[in-house]
Amino acid sequence: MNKIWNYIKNWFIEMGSPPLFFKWSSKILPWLLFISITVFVVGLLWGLFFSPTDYKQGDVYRIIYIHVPSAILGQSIFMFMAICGFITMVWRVKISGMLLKSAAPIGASFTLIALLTGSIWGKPTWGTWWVWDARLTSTLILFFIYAAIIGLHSSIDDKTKADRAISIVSLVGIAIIPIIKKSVDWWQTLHQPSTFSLTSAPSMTPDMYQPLLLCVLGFYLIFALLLTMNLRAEVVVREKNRSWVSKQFLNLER
Amino acid sequence: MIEQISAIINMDGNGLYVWSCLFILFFIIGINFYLPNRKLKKIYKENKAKGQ
Amino acid sequence: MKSNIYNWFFLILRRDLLMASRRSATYITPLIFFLIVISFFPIALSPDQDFLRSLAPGVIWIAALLSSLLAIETIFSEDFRDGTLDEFFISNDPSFVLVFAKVLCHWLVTGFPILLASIISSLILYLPISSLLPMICSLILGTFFMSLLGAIGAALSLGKSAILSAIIVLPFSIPTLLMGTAAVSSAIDYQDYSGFLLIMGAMLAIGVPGLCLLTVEAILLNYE
Repeated sequence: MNKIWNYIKNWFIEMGSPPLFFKWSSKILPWLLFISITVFVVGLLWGLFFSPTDYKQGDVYRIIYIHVPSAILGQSIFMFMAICGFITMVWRVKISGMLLKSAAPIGASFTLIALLTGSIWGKPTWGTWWVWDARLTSTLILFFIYAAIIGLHSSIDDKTKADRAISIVSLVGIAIIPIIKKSVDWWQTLHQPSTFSLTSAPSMTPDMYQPLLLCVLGFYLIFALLLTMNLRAEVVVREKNRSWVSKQFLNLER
Repeated sequence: MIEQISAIINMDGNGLYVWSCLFILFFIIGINFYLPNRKLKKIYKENKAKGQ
Repeated sequence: MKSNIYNWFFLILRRDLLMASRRSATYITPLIFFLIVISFFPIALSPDQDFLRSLAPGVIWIAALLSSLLAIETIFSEDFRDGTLDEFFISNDPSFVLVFAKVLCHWLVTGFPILLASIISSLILYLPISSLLPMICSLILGTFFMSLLGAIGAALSLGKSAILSAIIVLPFSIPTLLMGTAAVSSAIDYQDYSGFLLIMGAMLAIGVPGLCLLTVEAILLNYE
């Protein structure tokens, strides 16, 4: 038991060093690619083709298998970024800052997917492309915060400094996002549009619920895959003048 | 068989929405696959040029 | 002179207020900008009385937000450029007190004129008199929170474009905006608006220590 704990601790410490991370990620990348793409595709296929048709919405509800996992992931990634930001500010771990920077565009992409698919889902079910309901509005604000973080990082030339600037913004964000959600919820109940009855997600039988869970798992695995690829690229770009980079490329070639 | 496939593509008349959502998903995730690999390849090429 | 926190705080406050009073542009331009933005709404949309009255709380709050944002650019940049900020951070005194003093001074210099301008705007936009007091109270709390947020934005984009700090700060100011406009709107309907002011006060209570400390971290980034 103690051995396993020591092994995990050593792994964490080793991963803090960019060359060791790059070596380890090159080894597990094929496996991660295989597992994540399998679960992702199987979950989507199950949801899109093999789950029962909804009574109220017909087959359009299948967009839920894309929309809900993206929204869940968009928010989880922000929490992940806040934790990375905290580690970067308190312990000055460089790789935590690179992790934060690599996760930001992935989180923005998932939030964008959630917004676009939610809006497309709204057209046949609600009749309009957009409605200012609480969830869509707070997802839009989350997207703006992601865009601000990405823009801020790209505008600062010294990338270590940029990492810390982003950590500050994500820390402020993680404190304010619950407040934003609560106030947007309250704002929405105040201004409830009288012409729509907003249909929430269809009430789920287990037949519909299981592919959704599998899709969420698949999306998380895809996030892990994309994060690893982004982090590898980020590590190499930042340390491209160091000798371990050329040695690694020689190894990979072989 | 063909009517099953056409039912899937049609999705009760809302096929356009569902398939465009799927297309958006793959497109955006594809961009996220493509960009870091392109960065990596660029550094790799620079490295090769420097090494020689 | 005894060196304790209060002396330090009042020293910086007095210095900044003196500098701001010498350059009248510091406190007049946010005011004029506020009035210009407010006048654009009737010009661009419609001068109809009922329409403007329904829009008025939101319009006044958006104009206050934008003027706070544009005016915050100079809060650290001048001291950063001529090296005074370095001296502040080198000294033994706590730096979050510096940040709080600067934010307070900035709010006194730009937030107060906005309050006066908002009284004028409420006349321009046909707001009833019953909404005047809640509007002033909510603007006091809201513009102070905006100054705090703007200080973080200014510190992060020190020496860079203003619009970047605007992008960072604006999403975080949405709760303030919502609560402020809700306070004024519910006062127009003669309902109880104290809950909104209490929430804004709570955000200030958490924001003053938290945001000041984070601003110190953000300024220190520029001295790496």
